[in-house]
Amino acid sequence: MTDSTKTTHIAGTFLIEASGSFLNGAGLGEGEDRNVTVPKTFRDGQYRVPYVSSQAWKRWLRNTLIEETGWPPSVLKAIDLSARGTTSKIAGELNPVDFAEDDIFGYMRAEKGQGRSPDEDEIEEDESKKGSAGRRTKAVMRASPLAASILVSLRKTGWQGRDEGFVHLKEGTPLPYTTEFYNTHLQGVFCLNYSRLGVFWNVGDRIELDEDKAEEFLKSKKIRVKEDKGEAGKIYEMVDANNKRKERTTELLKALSKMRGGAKQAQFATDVSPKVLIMAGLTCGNPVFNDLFTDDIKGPALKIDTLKELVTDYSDRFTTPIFIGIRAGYLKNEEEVKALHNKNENGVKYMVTTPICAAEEISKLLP
Amino acid sequence: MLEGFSAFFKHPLTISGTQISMPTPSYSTILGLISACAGKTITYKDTRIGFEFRCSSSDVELERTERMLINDKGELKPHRKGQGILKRHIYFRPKLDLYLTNIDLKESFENPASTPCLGRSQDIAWINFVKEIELIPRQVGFLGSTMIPFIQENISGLILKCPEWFNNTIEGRTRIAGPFGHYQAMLPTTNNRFHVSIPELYHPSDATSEDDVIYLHRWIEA
Repeated sequence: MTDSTKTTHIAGTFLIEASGSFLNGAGLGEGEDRNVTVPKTFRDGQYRVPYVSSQAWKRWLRNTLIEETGWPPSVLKAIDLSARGTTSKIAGELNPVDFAEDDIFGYMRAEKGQGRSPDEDEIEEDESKKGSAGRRTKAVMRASPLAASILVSLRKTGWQGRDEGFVHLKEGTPLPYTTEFYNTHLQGVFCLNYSRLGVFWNVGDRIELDEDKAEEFLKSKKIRVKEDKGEAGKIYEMVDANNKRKERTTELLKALSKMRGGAKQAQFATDVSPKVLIMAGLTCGNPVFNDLFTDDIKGPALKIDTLKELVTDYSDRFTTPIFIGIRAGYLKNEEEVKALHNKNENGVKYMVTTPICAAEEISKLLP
Repeated sequence: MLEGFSAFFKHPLTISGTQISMPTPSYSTILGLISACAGKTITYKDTRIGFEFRCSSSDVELERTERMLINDKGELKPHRKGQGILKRHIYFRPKLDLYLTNIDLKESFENPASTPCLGRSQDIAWINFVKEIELIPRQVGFLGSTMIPFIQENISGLILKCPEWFNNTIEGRTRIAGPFGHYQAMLPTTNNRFHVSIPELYHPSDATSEDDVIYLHRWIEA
C-alpha cells in the first residue's frame, strides 16, 4: 500500500504538443544553409531529432512559477568586476531561505582561481589538515533539487517544416530568409528531490549556504542545525521546512502544469503547457517515468503495458497513486488510458484526470 | 544499467570557451554517481568498478550566457554586445553499464537517495535494472567503450590524465585530488568491440557473446 508520508522524491514525465513549432534555436544552418534559422537537433543513428535543452525549458518553468505566485525572483547581480569595471561574474540571490527559486533550482557562485592547485601558504596555517584538504574556499554551490532532462522529440522523421519568408522592400529585390521548424511531440523527464527542499549541506567544499548568510539566518532563527558532522561540516534546515517544502513543491507542480514560454512565440505561438503529465511520489530518486510515449502518423500514445510493468516493478516504492493528467482528444489511446482510472497495480492506484488537476491532487498528498 | 537523454563529462583542461567532453566518465565521476545513489560518500576502498559507456551520437549544444556590465552610476546593465553563446559537445541517448564488486551497493541502485546524473544536473539518468552476475577472469577478449590505464594502439580514443578520486572531508576547504592515472578513454559513439589482452579483464556472465569482456579497474595505491 502507498504511504504518502514517506515521499522523498516526485518523479514524472510529460508531453508537449509542438505542432508547427520552433521552441529552442541552434542559430544558422551549415554550408549553403547559412540563411536558414534551425532549431536544436541531435543525431540519433541516421536521423536528426529535434530537442529543447534543459536550461531552456527550466527558464520557462522559472518564469511561469514567478508569474503565477508573485514570489520575489532571484535576480542576477554582478558579484565580481574585471579591472576594466565590466562584470566578470554574476549570480542570483544565492539565498534559498527567502527565495524559493534558489531553493528549487539551485545556483553556483564560482570562486576566482577555482580548480587551481591549493595555495601552499594557506595549508601551512593548519598542519593537521595538510594532505587532506586544500585552501579555504568561498565558492557557493547548490545542485538543483529539480533534476530535469532535455525535451526530446517523439518523431525521428517527418517532423521537418520550412517556412520560406521574404522581406519586401520599398525598392530593390525582396530579401529571402528561411526558418526550419518542427511538427512533433516533445517528451521530458523530471525528478524532484523533495527531501532536499529547505535543507542545505555545508559539507566539505560543497557549501550550499554562504557562511555569512548561515550565521545571519541562525541568529534570526530562520534555520537550525539539523546535523553536525564535526570537521566535515553541518547540515542546516529551515525552521518551517515542512511547510515551505510543501508550499514550494505545490506551486512548482502547478506552474509545470500551466507552463508558458519558448522561442519564436510571435511567429509560431506554441502552447507549451503539458498535454500529458504523469507524476507520483517515490521513496527513491530513480526517475522511473521515462520513454513512456510512442507516436505514429495518427498521433501520440501512452505505452500502457510499459507503464503497468514499471508500476508493478516499483510498487513498493510508490508513495502516492500514479496521477495521469491528459488533455481530452490528444492521445490516440485516450479511452484505454481513461480505463485505468481507479484501477490497482499491486496496491498502487491510477488516477486519470487533467494535467492541472493532477498537479493539484498530488500536492494534497505531500507530507 | 543506467540510461538517459544526454550526458557530458567535462574535460579537465577546458575552463572557458567551447566545452568538450571526455569520451567516457572518469572513475572519480563514477564514485560520485555511486555516492549520490547511496546517499553517503562511497570511496575507492568500498568497491572496484568496471563500466561500459555508449551513446547514439555526440553533437554541439548551444547555451545562452548572460553578459552584464556596471555603468558609471554603479548600476548593473546588460552588456551592449547582448547575450553570449557557449558551445558544448554533449552525448545523446547515453547508456552506462556499471559493474561493482561490492554487492551491498545493490540497494543503493534499487532505492537511490538522489537522481543519478551522467555529468551535469540536467543529464539525469534512470536505472533500468540491477542484478547480481558473475565476473569470470579472462586473459583476452573483446572490450567495449570504457577507460583503461593501458594505451592500446589499435583502439581510437583520447589519452587523459585523471584523478582516481577526491578527498572532500573538511568544511569550507577545497577537495584534494587522489593519485593521478593515465588513461585511454575509448570513443562511445560506436558499438564496436576491440580485441585486447590486458590485465584485469573479466567476462560478465550475462554478456551476449562468449568473448565479451570488461575491464575491472584496479585502484592506484595512494
